[in-house]
Amino acid sequence: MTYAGLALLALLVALAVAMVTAVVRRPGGRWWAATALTATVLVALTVVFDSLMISADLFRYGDGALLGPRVWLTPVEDLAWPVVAALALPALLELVTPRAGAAGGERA
Amino acid sequence: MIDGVTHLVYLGLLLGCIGCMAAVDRRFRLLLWSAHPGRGALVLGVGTAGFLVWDVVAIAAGFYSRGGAAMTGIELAPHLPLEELIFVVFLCYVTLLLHGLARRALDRIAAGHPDPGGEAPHRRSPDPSTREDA
Repeated sequence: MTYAGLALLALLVALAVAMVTAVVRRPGGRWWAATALTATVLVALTVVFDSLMISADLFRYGDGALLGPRVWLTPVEDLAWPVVAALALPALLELVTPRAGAAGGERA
Repeated sequence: MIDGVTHLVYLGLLLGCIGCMAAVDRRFRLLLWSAHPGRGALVLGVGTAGFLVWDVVAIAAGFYSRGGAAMTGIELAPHLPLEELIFVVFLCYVTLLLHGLARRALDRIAAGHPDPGGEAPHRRSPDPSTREDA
C-alpha cells in the first residue's frame, strides 16, 4: 500500500462515518455548511503549518513514498488529514448526541 | 545543534495552542465546557486513536519518520514521538471547536441576530442596540 492508498482508505472511513450520520441523524444544511467551512479552514491551516513543520524538519518522508505533487511544501496526501478530521469528527459528535426532541426538546 | 530549549519548542507550541483553544472552548461552551463534556471527550478520544492508527501504519510502512532537534526525543513507539500524540489531540480539538463555532455563527445569521448570544458566561461587549435589521 502507498501513502496515497492509506490516505484514500482513511477518507473512505471518514466518508462512511459522515454518511451514517447523514442517514441516522439527518443534520440540516447549516450543519453541512459548518462542516464544509471547517474543512476549508483546516486545509488552509494544514498547507501553512505542514509546510512550516516540514521546513523545521519535524518529520521526513520515505524515499518514493509520495505521489509527488505538493502545495507549497505539503504533499497532497497530507491534505487528507484535515478533510478526514472535518468529515469524521463533527459527524461522530452528532452521532453520540441524542436526537433533539427525544430528551424533552427545550428548543422552540 | 541542541541547546537547552530547542527540543521543547514544538511540544511547547502545541500545548500553548491547546491552552488557547481550551480558553475559547470555555468562553463559548463548545465542547469540553459544553453541557455534555463527556461526549466531547469521547469523540476527542476516538478521533485521537484513529489518527494514531493512521500514523502507526504509515510509519510501519516507511512513509515517514521522525525528524530532528525541535522535539523532546521521547517516543511512544519507534518514530512516533510524544509530540505526535499531542498534535493529533490538537487536530481533533481544533476541528471540533471550528465546527462548533461555525455552526453557532451560521445559526445566528439564520436567526437574524449575528451578535454573540446568551450562552457565554461573561460577555464584555457594550452591545447597545447595535442591530442592523432595517
